[in-house]
Amino acid sequence: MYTGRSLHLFVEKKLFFFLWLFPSVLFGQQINELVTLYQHKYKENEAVIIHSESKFEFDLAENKVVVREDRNQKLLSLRYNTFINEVEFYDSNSDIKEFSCESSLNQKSFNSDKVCGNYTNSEYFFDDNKFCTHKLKLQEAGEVWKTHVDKIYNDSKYLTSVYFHDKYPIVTKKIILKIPSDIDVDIREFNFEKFAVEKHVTEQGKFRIVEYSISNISAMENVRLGRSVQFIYPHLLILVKSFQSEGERVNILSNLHDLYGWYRSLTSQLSVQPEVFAPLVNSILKGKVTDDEKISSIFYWVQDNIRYIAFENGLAGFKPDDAHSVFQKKYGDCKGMANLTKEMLRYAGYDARLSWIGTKQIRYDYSIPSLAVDNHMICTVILEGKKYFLDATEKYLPLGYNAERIQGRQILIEDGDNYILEKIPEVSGENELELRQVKLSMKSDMLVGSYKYILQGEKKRNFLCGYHFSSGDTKDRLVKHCLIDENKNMKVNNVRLPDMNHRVGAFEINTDLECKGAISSFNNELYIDIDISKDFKSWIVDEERQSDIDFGEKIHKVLEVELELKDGDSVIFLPEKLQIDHKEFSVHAVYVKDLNRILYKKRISIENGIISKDSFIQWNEAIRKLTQHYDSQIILKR
Amino acid sequence: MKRGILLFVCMGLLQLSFGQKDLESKLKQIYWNNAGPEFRQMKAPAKWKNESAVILATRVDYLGTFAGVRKSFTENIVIHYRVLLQDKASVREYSELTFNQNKIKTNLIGKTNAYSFVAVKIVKPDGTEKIMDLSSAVKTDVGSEKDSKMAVPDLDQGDIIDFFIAIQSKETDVPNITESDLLEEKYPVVNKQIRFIVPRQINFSSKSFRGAPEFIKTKQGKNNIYTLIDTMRGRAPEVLWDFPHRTSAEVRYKISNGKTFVHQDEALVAREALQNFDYNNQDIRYIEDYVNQNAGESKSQDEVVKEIYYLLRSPIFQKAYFDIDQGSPLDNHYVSERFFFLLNKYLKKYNIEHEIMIVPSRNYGPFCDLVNMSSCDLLLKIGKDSGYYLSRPTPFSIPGEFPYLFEGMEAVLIGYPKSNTAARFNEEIPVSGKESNLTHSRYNLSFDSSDLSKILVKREVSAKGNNKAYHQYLIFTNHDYLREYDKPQYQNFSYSEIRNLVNEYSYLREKSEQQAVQENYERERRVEDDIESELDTKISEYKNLIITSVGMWEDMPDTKYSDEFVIDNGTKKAGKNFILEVGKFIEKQTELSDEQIQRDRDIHMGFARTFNSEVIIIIPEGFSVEGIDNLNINVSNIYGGFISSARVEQNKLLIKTSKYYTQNHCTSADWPHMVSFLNAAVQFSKSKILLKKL
Repeated sequence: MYTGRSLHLFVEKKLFFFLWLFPSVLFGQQINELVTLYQHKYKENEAVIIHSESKFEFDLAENKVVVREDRNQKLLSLRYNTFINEVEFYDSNSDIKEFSCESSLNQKSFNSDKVCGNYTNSEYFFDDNKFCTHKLKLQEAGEVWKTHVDKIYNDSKYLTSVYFHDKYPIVTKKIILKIPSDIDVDIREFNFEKFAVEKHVTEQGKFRIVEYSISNISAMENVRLGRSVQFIYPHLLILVKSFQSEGERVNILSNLHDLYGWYRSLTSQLSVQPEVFAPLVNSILKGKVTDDEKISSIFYWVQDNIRYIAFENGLAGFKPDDAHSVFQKKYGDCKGMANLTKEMLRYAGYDARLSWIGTKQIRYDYSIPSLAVDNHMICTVILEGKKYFLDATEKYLPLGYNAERIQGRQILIEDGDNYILEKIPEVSGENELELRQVKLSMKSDMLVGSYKYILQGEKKRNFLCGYHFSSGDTKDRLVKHCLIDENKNMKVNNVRLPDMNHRVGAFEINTDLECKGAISSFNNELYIDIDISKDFKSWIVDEERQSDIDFGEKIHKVLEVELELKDGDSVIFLPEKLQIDHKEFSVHAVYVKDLNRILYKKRISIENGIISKDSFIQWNEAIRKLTQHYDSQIILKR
Repeated sequence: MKRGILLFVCMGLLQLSFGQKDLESKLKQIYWNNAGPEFRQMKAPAKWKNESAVILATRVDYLGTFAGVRKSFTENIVIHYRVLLQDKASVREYSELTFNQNKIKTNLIGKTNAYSFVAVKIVKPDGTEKIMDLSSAVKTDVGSEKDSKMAVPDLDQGDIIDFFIAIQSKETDVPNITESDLLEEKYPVVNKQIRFIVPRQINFSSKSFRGAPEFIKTKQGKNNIYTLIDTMRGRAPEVLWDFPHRTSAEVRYKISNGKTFVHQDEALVAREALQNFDYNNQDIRYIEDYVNQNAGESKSQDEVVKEIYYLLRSPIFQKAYFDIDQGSPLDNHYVSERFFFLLNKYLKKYNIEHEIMIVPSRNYGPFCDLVNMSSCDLLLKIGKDSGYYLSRPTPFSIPGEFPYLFEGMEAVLIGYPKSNTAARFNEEIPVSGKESNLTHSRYNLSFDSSDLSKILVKREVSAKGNNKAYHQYLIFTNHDYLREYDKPQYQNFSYSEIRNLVNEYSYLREKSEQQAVQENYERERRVEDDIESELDTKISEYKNLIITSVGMWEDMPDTKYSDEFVIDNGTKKAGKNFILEVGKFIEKQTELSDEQIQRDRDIHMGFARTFNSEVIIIIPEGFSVEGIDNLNINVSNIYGGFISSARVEQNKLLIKTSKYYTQNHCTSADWPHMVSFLNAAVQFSKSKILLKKL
């Protein structure tokens, strides 16, 4: 006997079976049922991929491993009279040989109909990404579009990862890798534990066939504060390590040594012309005595004077620009800025080195020999056994502080033919504080007083960046936004800013504060709200969300409020203490009566800046309690 | 033969590259080396030291010349800017430039006859100059308006970026040029010059508004020179309820061939354009067919005309006459002028009295201020004094409605039959009153007895006049719209072309059913977001949306709907008592910042309007209500008002509010009157009541 849910699944499976095997002879009624089923299941999607099969065939050509991808896909329309774009990307290391589409309603878009062009990733000014697209009309729900892509990766180094998810939900998907025995390919699997991925390995003559299949997966999300897809979705990392050529083993990227060797082969091509920047280095070092002063003056000069503009064109995606070129252009990407920092420091007499690093967006480490393990370059100075990690792309970062995105990450430091592998130290939460200290008194229906806003670490750096890169009025708006958000009931007057160019130490803004309507008076009772920063109020997360929440920074928000009572005021009610402790976050809030004052202290911490999907239920529960706490008021009798 | 062609091509390329170099150096010589003193300026006035950037000088030069024996007309246009970058934000803005690569066209003997040229240089604070090599630019992404982009090297805070764009093109005749230029720009301007050098035979006329200087005419050989110089102009401010073309300094000008007569008064131009309706050869057989099949003798002329309006608004006829896709009727489609020609043809043929009008828009002002008709549109009036208007159809427009930007403007018209209307030339378009554009919201609030922080809300909304459109697009879907036209009168037609379109409509109508689930889901999210934004709170359990009337037919002209939802954290707890922010239920209010309260520009709004609210709160058992006195407010004046009242009846608290704007425009001197009732509404919106445990 079928329950409602299992009947539903049964219908889905049965219908799908028909559609998969006999799409052309499927009865209209069955199609309609399937469409209805998926329309309810995937309300936001225009189509669902009912089957996708990608075959990757590895081969040797001109002493290189090339990979041919042949992908066939069936897309079931869930909408009518709607256009969608089927897009395929390629770059200077890959080509699209064929890309065509054909529908069950006899619509066709041939390979020659595809439209191609440049498409630069939003992080860069220019890169070598290109795309081809077919604009497909979903004439009616139930129409099935078949697409075929034939794509070549001309150098297997650049085929790094293969994902199962797509922009549409997928009913079934197969990824098949056909690897000849003379090519050593290591396939690493990620995030398989949360998804039912089946794997079969067979031998066919001299080929190893590795087949993965997955079913019923939703579309890849594009959500706010989403964590890097590497942490969320199942995928394969393809490591082409070596191949046999005339009886010899030829390494490609078999280990970290190979990877470093390739990087080194690129950096050794760099030309060094210190005479271009020598006068400037001499000038900025004038009067600087200590090593810290000297290193920081060069580091800060690069931060302040070199704009981050990235060209990721072919090998330029891996090879730094020459230091003198970056110096003359006054712009560069992370590699160019790292190289200029290095060469200026070397000219100044320091042991400065290029260093590769994968930011926190990358889930892999250097135990994996792949181009996918890093995405960033900085400069490391080694001085008397101490290492300074200098990332000049991080504007307003003080010397000795490492940006959140690289803390705790492995770093590959150049060391001649060898390398040094280290870890960037983590900073404790206490150094990442966002502290609000407020002293308030009552005036009519308002709270008035003084307000001190203190930022440390990454928060301070972000604020300074935002401030300096805002124009005119926007600067004032930014300051107000940080102090009182968009709360129109609050007003800040007489805002005193600190030295906005000072990188080191805490950052403190002082201001006068007015909170209109914070006191509601009913008969002789005053109902008072003294929490001026209701962080995370109603911040409920959709529990269906696939991605962890990644705030991109550690969060430690502290509010300390002191409310001065008038003579004769008696406290009738103080909201209850709130204390929530979880491995990923904590919320503490407490009101205390102290002589003629009420003291309120609230602390919200998200230790690593991540709320994982596994914690969404507890997070939402905590947010509900926090929101209730925010909605609790002090009562005074006057 | 083939070799010959190849050689010719190679020589052409060589000539082109030499020609380009010569041209480059010639243009740079003219616009950089020989530029006036304003383009050598290095510093900004002290009062603008805190601005992000300052335009030290900008200049538009237009040179028009006849070539040969007036066989063609060559236009040379140069736009030149010199901008001082005073902070990192402006450096960032100018650090990546997009432009079209320099192009040069030569004739068969290698003489340049058209070009488009961009040049950029950076001037350092010490005066040293660096000219950018634009040949290293890279291609822009697909979809970009320009073909090339470039990262500007060696650009720092304190630098000046000095660039010009020079375009030469050859036209067969003197082009008609009309422009309405606001003198304020994104950054303050120290010196702005607009100069036209044209042969004397060419007409040039201009109008300056609100403190803008006039063009000065001088003569040079066979040319007239018209020069406008504007200095020390502050940057364009962000102003609430503003029509910049009615409030800030502006010049409007017009250039035309002296051989052809051009009216200086756009009202006369409009009147002349209306003569086109005398020669109207539209094919109205499809309309006549509809009328024959559906309008019995019992229907009045008025009824027939209105039915034709609905017909032309229908997806089937939008496709038939305006080539608008039937499947997505709510998308932003544009119905062409053909609509007016079709109706005019029909009305003339059946001797129905009507007038075709051209109406200027309020945001550019009356005809006497215009230099072209780009801000004007057509309007049709059936009958005379007590007649009604028909405007270009939009999905929800009904007879009698017209765009609010026409209100109060004087239209020029042509009437038919001419014998009845010959004496009329103009008409002032009526202005709608505050009661015509009215939204009424009723919120019924009750509490979950087990959790008084949870409020169950039932809402009824109705909107009329110009207040409707916002709600119509919020609550209606393409699927709903297609269903609205699923009526017998739109099914039977004699012509096979229309029958085919009816079949297409039926097909799409049926197919649209297939995605009703998704459209309804998207609508619910849309309405939820709207409620959350208006009430500034999170809601859940949105349900039971019932659309009583979408307001697209004259017999049910108002938009009416109701729905239900829950506010989970609707109250604030204080001991055993609860505070309800009851003011929120009048929805989001215009809250003025300190800067906005001071105002020296007139206020231009869309239309007079009223927003009425009723909030009915069922007082939970065991609680009393305190704080009602604060809910009684009355601030009103001739520009509008905010009035609220509250009373308790049995177990209900009844609150009524009305906020209204009586005018669509008032002067800056009257702004304090508006501020008074706007602030009163804001004050109410922050009101709270106490639910006190008995």
